[in-house]
Amino acid sequence: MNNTNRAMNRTFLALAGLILVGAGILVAAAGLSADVRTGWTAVAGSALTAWQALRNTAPSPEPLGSWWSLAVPAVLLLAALTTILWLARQGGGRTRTAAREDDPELGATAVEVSYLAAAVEAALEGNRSVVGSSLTAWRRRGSKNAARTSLRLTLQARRGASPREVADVAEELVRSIDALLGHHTDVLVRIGTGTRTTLARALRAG
Amino acid sequence: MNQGRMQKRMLRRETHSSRTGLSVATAVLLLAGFVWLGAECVLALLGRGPLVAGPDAMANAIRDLPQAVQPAGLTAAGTAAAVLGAVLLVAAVKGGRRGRRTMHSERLALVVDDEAIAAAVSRQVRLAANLAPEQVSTTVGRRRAHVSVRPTSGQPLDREALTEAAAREVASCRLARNLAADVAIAAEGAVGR
Repeated sequence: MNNTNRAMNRTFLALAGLILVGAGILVAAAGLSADVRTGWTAVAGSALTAWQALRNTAPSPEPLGSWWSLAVPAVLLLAALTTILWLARQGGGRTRTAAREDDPELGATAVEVSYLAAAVEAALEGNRSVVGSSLTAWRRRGSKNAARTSLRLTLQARRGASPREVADVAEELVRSIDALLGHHTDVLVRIGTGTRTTLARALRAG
Repeated sequence: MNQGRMQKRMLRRETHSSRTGLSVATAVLLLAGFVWLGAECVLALLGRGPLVAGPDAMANAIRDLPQAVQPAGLTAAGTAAAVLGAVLLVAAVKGGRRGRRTMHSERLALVVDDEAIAAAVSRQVRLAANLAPEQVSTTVGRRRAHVSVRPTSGQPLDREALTEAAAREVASCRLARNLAADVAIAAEGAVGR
């Protein structure tokens, strides 16, 4: 769980896909039809002529030739920067602070996720149906408010353990976390299987 | 955002792919392209030699592309690009469901891996039929859990009873959308143990 903007990811992929499909169809059509080939050369040729005419509207000293020549690398630089920003926006939101409370008299109190994770680990010790756990926290984008922190608890079920049993364990754990933090936190619980599950012995019949 | 909506959002995000991998890969390729074209432009402005081809040479090459390349080559390249684009489009539009599903819970946003359900169903069927672990395997599909059982030679199994055991385990999970369970008993038995 993180702050990736999924709708934007999909829009971006759709746009890239559409452009590729369009270009592909155009090139394939040029391969199939002589009309498209001559049309291609004519359109590209007139576009180049138009570009030359545009260059002449804003002459500049050599070696630049025209101010318009500067526009192309500028646009490319802008596009590259946008892409870098895009890449930087992926993910994010993870935090080490599970909860924070500011009291004007007592000062600020912060609870680290690692503390809660250790408590969960200790509570699960000796549990028959859970072999491992992990706890992470993330903060929603743009909110400094600690109450907006959500938790994600992953429990690795022992092979063959009933998911409902594990879910009951999780609800019990989250009740304890609520009691520890003193407020209601949004919690996502995932009951999974992983390497620990594979390595641990399966749940045997009684 | 109220609590119910937050929970729904968390569940949706946990059970569906974010498309981050594909979108990052596309963005990195795009970035490489922008940087290269930008470098060529700057080199040309400075009057230095090009890395691969200068902007003017590139523009001319694009104009003369239909004459320079065999039509069959154009068709093949165009089709390949179109197929790649279609893959991106499909990835953008399709749901991207992961092998997980939502379980009912009052307090939590609760998600369970299909694999965990399959293991639990296998175990219940195995207990009901008194079989060894390797005689039962379960796959969980979108709408049904399919259990295949290899009986011990000479010991017939009651398919009804096993189906009921599987269905009971699935029902006990209280999934947001229930799974149907079906049991297939292999004609060939395993050597008894």
